Amino acid sequence: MTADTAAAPLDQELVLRLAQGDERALGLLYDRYGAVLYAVAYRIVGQKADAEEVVMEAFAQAWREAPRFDAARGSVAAWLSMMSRSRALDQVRSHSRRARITEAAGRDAPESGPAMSAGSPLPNEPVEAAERRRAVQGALAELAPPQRVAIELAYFEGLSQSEVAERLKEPLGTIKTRMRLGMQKLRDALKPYYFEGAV
Amino acid sequence: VNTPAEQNLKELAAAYALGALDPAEAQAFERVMAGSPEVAREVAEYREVGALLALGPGTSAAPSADLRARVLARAAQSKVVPLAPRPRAGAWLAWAAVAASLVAAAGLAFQRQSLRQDLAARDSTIAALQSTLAVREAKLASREATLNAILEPGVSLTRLNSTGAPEPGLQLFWNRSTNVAIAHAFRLTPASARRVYQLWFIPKSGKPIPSVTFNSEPSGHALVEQIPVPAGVELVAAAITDEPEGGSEQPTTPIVLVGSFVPAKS
Repeated sequence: MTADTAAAPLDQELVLRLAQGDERALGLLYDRYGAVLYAVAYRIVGQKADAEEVVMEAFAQAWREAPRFDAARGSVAAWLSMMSRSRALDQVRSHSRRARITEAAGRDAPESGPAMSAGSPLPNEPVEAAERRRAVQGALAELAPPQRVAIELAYFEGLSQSEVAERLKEPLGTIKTRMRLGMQKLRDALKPYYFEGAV
Repeated sequence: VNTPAEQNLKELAAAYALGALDPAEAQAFERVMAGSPEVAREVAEYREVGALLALGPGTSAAPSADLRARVLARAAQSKVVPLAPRPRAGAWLAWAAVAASLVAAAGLAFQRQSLRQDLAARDSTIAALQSTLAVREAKLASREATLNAILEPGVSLTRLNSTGAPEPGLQLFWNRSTNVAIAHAFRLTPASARRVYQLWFIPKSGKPIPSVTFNSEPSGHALVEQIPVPAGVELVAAAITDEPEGGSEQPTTPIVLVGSFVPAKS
């Protein structure tokens, strides 16, 4: 999926070209990060078709907002991932609101909720991407489970710290500490695996 | 060396990057981050960690093979005017062929200037559109939040009806699980100068409990959110009175609107 050869343009150059309406640049960004955006979306919405819809929306948003990309705020990969996460959370919230309205109307609520189950590994994954995936899975496995749960509830379910505390029936201070320490550990372990152009 | 306040903020950076701060907390954090490159860098780094989280266990299989084509097609549909000016090639080339003179040079300079102005005008149009869009997005997000709060399970609706003409009304959405309410008033004539409306919770026994003060817009509408509802007291009704600015400890004027609470389902 990566195109990190010596001749390949940098991510930031691609975003610049995106801002000028270059569709080829969008294709190259998809080749690099399409799978990452899809993974973010799938973890949140739990359905293949919905996740693909989110990826399309996220790239369309990147296409529109490319002139406002600010490298000081993070890498292109982080920028794109945030769009995928936001669009996916919007979709879950909108589905859940519709479900609540349906429920209020006295009908059966549809079965919903993001699936968190493991899927099959990606076929033909490039070596660098596979290494990165292994590193992330290793770092997450090293975290104390309560720290990992707090971080995942915030990132994949869009819960605030107080909502995580309420969900887990734990004091807010405990959740704050778990999230902070967990993220610090992940940062220390994953620094060598950040995507291109990270600050 | 970090001051305790800076240290405290750095501790919020990870939660901010995860989108886990409450809206008010996030706004305060953003204000401070705008003035502190160090905190901004910290957030940027945690965003990189966030981008990697999706590669953890639970990752899905690959997307459909045709997704790339669909992504490109979707983007093409939402294509905006590119910032780069499109040269008027035909006319330009014809000009260049006969333009070995100063007149031509002056013409080209004029054209370049005109393109530059054209580009600047487009830039400013786009900036204006983006700013309008940002305002609308913020408004939409705020309405979405209100709607979500109203639709939370356990929210009950109480209508406060008028005790006089011309028929104003107020809907009180009370989330009994969080004890927070949202009030929406309509056809409520704005209170006169130095006066406000005040909400009261009426307990089964004892005096009315003072709550928020507010005023309606000239259209007669008012939306008040995040109203704390007193806990540990059996409330039977809510009411609105007209009070001096700053509110009162006890009602000083007759009730304008009143409504009874439906007892909670056990």
